[in-house]
Amino acid sequence: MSSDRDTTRIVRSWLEDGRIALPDRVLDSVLDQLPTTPQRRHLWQAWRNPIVSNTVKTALAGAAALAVAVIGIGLYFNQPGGIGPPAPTPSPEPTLTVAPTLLLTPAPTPEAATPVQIAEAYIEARNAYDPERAKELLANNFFTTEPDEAFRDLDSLELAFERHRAFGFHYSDGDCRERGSAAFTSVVCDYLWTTETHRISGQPPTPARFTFNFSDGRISGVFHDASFAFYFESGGWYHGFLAEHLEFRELLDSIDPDEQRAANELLPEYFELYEEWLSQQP
Amino acid sequence: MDTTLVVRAQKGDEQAFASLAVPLGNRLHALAHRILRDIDLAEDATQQALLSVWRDLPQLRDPARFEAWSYRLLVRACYAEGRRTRREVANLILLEADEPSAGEGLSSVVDRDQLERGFRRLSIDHRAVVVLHHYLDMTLDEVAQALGVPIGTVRSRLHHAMRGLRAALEADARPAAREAAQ
Repeated sequence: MSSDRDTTRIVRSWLEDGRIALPDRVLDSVLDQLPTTPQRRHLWQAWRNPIVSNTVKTALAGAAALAVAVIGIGLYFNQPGGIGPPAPTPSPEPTLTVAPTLLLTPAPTPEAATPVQIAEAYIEARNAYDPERAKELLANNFFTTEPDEAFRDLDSLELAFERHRAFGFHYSDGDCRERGSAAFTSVVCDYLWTTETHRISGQPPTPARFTFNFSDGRISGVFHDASFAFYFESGGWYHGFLAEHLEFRELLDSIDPDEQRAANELLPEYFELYEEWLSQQP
Repeated sequence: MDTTLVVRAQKGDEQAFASLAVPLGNRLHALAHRILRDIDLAEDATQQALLSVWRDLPQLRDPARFEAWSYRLLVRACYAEGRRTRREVANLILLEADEPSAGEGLSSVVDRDQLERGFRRLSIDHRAVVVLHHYLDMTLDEVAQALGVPIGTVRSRLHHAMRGLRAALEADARPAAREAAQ
């Protein structure tokens, strides 16, 4: 009878046999197929591609940052007793002026909370919204991540996008702590964006609308009313913002939401604040 | 592995990928052949794995982990080849191999024959663990990372696989032992 050690030795010796090289024809076939085989990229990787125009980047940055800021800050300022930091001082030279229109549509489910008016105005360097026309959907499951540099640096937006697809919208300024909710199903951002090009050429702000759809707290689709596309160096065209992005959907499906949520440590204090606020609502 | 080439290939540089593909292809093919035990299937699996590497390369976060990551794609390709050929294999009639002569005992030829049979009875999951651990000398932790499964699963699969291979060797030893006792 062979011992475990003998078995291992025999197996190892057996596996060593028959060293063979990959035939050239196989390798040639692979290399021949490269030009017609597009590489799969994360949505945020389109962002980093230099071919994506700065205009598109600015629009996306504005939409994403605006929606996130409005929801996060709105929730923050709606805490009982005025909990939350004072509104930041507006930047004297904002890089993006957002039109005073933002609508957050409520979840269609019966248990969804009713949209409420955001009480506090909030202005920051890139974004602003008019509280009279802004509404938010109440969150029911706060969670938070560690502070990061998302939105401070445009190149860091990948973090934001990655988090959005997994956790929903969340953002607050100050320490850049993020919060989120699974309650949002759709966020519509109507805004005007102004770039340096607009300023230099004297063009009026360009109206645009972004719609972010959510499923189980994750972005399931991003829509834009303008027509544009991304072209990758690898030779593939992506029209991801004109309709639901199928590749993005695949990525979403590959993520285990429980695992992602578990990776974000829930802060009990947010739950407590929210529960307290809820209990005071009529 | 030149991580510069990996980064360039991630950005769609076909020349850089070609430079990576030559040595990588040989390694993947060697693994595929050992897992699938069939030259043709191994070539197909390697080809699919190389294309998957190219396609998914932009999603690799750490270029330093390129090689281990490529092994995972290869194992997936082996699964696919295994599934594709399962029906064909089921239609084959298995013939009894010639019994080894008593005088050969546990010769290496018999060992290899029995190992081959025992190995083919293992699932692709189990074969992959055996090959990565015993052929590539990867630690169990490295195998777990490469396959994307918990280390406990790797231990379990390895234990099960080695038990099966040992049983295959012992099954061969029994007739010789019986004859020796007579």
